[in-house]
Amino acid sequence: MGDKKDVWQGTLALMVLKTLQALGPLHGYGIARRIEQTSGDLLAVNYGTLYPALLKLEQEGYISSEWGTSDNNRKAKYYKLTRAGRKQLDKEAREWNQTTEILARFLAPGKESA
Amino acid sequence: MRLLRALFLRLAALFRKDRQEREAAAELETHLQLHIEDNLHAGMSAQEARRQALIKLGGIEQTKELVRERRGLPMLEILLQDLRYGARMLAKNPGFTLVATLTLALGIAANATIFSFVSAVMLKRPPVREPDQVAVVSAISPVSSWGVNLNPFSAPNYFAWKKENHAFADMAAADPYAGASLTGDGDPERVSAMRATANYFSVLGVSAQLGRTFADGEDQDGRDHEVILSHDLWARRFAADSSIVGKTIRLNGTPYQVIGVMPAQFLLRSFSAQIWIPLELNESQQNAAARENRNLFLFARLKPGVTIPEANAEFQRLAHTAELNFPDTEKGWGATVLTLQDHMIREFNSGPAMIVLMSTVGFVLLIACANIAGLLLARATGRGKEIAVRLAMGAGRLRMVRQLLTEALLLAALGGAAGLILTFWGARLLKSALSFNEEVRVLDLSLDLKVLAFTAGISLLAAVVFGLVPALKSGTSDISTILKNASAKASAGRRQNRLRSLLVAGEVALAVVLLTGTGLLLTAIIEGLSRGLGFDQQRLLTASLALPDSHYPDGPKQVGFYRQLLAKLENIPGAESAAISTVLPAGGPEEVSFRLKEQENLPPGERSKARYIVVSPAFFDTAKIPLIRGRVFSELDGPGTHRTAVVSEVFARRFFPKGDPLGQQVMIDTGGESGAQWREVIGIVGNVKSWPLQTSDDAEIYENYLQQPAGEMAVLVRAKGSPESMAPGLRQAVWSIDKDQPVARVMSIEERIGEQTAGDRLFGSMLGIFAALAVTLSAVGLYGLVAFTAGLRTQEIGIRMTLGADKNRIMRLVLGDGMKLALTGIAVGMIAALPMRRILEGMIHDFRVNGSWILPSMAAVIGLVALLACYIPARRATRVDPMVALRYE
Repeated sequence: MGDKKDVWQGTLALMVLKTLQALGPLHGYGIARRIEQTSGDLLAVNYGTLYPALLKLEQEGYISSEWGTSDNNRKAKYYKLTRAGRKQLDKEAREWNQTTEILARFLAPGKESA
Repeated sequence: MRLLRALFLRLAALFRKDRQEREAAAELETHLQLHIEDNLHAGMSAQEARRQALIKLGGIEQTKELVRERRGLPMLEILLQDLRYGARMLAKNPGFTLVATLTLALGIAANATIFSFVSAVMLKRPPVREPDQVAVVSAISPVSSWGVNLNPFSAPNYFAWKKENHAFADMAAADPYAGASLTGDGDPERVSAMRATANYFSVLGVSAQLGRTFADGEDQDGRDHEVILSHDLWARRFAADSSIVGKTIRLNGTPYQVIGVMPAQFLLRSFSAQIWIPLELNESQQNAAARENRNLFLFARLKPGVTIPEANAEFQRLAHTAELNFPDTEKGWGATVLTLQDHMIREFNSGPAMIVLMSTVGFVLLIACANIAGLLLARATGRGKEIAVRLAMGAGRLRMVRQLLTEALLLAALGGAAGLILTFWGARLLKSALSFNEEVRVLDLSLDLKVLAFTAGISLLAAVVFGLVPALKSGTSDISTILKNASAKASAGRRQNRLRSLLVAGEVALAVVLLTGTGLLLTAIIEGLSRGLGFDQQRLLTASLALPDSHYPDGPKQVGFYRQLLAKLENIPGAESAAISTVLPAGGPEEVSFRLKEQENLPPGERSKARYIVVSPAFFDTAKIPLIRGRVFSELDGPGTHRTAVVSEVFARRFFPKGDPLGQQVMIDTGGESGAQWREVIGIVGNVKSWPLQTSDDAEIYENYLQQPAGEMAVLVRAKGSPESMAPGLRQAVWSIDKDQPVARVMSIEERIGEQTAGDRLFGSMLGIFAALAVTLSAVGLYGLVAFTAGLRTQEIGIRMTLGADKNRIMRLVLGDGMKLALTGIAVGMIAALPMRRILEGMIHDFRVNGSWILPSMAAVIGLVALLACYIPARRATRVDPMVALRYE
């Protein structure tokens, strides 16, 4: 149980960081919607799990938050990437790419027998 | 780094809860509003928009809880919260808390007290340098006789092996049972002395508190008149005189110079001595007599890198070589190497008693745990609703289990703390009871770290045992059923009660097993104590005398002394008769091998053995041992006249199954030239026990001290009145002949027997206490269950009464439920206890008891106690007022 959650949270964290890099400061709801949209609605983000993940990233210093006003004039908490967050994003993205590349090679059909 | 930062922030979050709580709520509220607005844009109705947003968020409270967990340190926070909550719960139910704490404290204290004893015997390291490196080499006798088979060696073996072994850096020899007369200021005193080679203290790696220990060569002739005092003797006899070093004291009439005083903590159980004097050994003596003289224990320090098993293997080889080279004296003798600590444990020889005690208190704790588990289960029933509500409010199931476990731990901590206080008293009480001999007197029962760790450990274990069952149980109950069910109490009660019933039946079964084992042991002890010893114990004063060789070097001198003494003793006012013997009746085993003239001539090691006692002619009259046939010794027998022996009934029956022993010839292996003479059996006397509580009877053979004189003798005086009142007279009689002769252990023979049986009596009373505790605890458990169940059924009972059930019926109903459980437990317990007697017989040497009645009667006792425990709540149930009962709930 614990393992699964960690993987998911790890991936979620990467998605959050990437979203913040792409769109700049954003509130929690916005991040969640953006992730869903980017995934082509293949991913259903459980909004409930998003907030603990944001809190974790903030505690680790990858993002920071402050209260601001939303487009439709609502008080909302905005998250933005810190310098450490940017570095972390680069590092994790690189690692992720590497991992998918390796897996892709394994899963590519027929390569092994050739 | 990142982790640390996060940890720090989370720790800090613990103290800024309110603000963060508000912010989190605001953030989620914004989230919800934004989502609703989006949904409205998408064309949903206001109601639908809100509904969808809420579903997607997945429960605001649950999300808040998840955020909360991430924000602070949930582990720590929850623990603190649970502890706070648990403490509140315990404080709110003082009755429950008191009963549970007390139950647990008793169980833990019983265990910890016994453990402090076991630890003192088994785990305390001897007070020497690097105790693991210090070994004792002992001889293994070919005839495994009474007690522990760890024996001393002869000097020739010591010299040979000291040179030949490769295992030890150094090896010392010591005769621990030397003994000496200490004279000078005050009464002459017999002190226990160890004669040791000069390197003894350096092998052990200990040094003196005052002065020094022996130097090289001080065990050689001419330089050996030096003595080291124990702290105890120095403080008692010499008033802790700090200038004692260099002074001279008289031992056996000879001056010895004090060179040192050992520190108080230098106490080696089974090698304790009051003084140490140099052991002078002559390497050139290699004859058979020197090899037969086995009186030396070998102490050694291992070479670095050599292990005990290696040393052991080497000494087994050396012993084997000796067997081949000296078959006459060494045949069958082996050698074993143990660490000093292991040697002391082996010599203490209480393994079975400790196993029995530890398992008994283990059972007691188990019963206590079952009781508390039962109480917690009962409470869990009442708390079913509370827990269901909390689960519905977003608490995780694991969280609930943890909370119940935390409460159990809190309870265990309370019980452990209270138990520790009881242990403090228990250990003090036990220590004061352990004073009946030197070996137990030196035991240190202090509550050291090991005892504390043990107490903490069993408290924790107890918490897991009694806390896990109800905790897991509550973690799996179904919320909706409990919440829906208006009278959740009764329905949940039924289910929980099955488990409680199991616990209580188990407790009763344990109590039966425990009581049976204890009953068997106690009966054996009581039977042993009341068994006749073969002589009259009343009004018999005794004392121990050891005539030093320096004053009484030969038989005629010894006989001369004792003749005078006996004449004087008989004339003490109040004395009826007086006698001497080498071993007192029931005073311990003393074996000798012998040969009957009609038997084939076997080598000494393979001959029959008997208990051997040298006595004065009046011994049988004085001790009131009946003469069965023939005659006893005469004052007229002497070294010149032909030699005689008296045998006991068992001797006659065992070795002359058909013929008449009277007039037969027997040769007793007493060594020296007298050993080679034939003795004529002149009489048969009644058998005497070799020690109190002995179940079997030994063959006994007696000789006349006039023909076989000895320096060490016990004195017996039969009094007309109180034996103690003759003690001064006895001392004066000895000192009027020799003012420097110590008189040791002047006491009635009943007192001596009391000392010998003190260990067994202590063991018995401890078992009795623990068994009583076990029975009480299981009765409390049974009572608790029956009372609780009856309480749950108040309404039902009310209905039954309204419908016409009379009091007897109600009584039978409640009583029957309880007794069904008790009887099940008793039946299981009886089956489990069946092999108990066999187990004890296998475990304890010389254990025999006539106890087929014990198992059924112990079961009956438990049955009665159970009946009482059920009767009280049953009676209360009959007094239920139907009107009140129906309004109940």
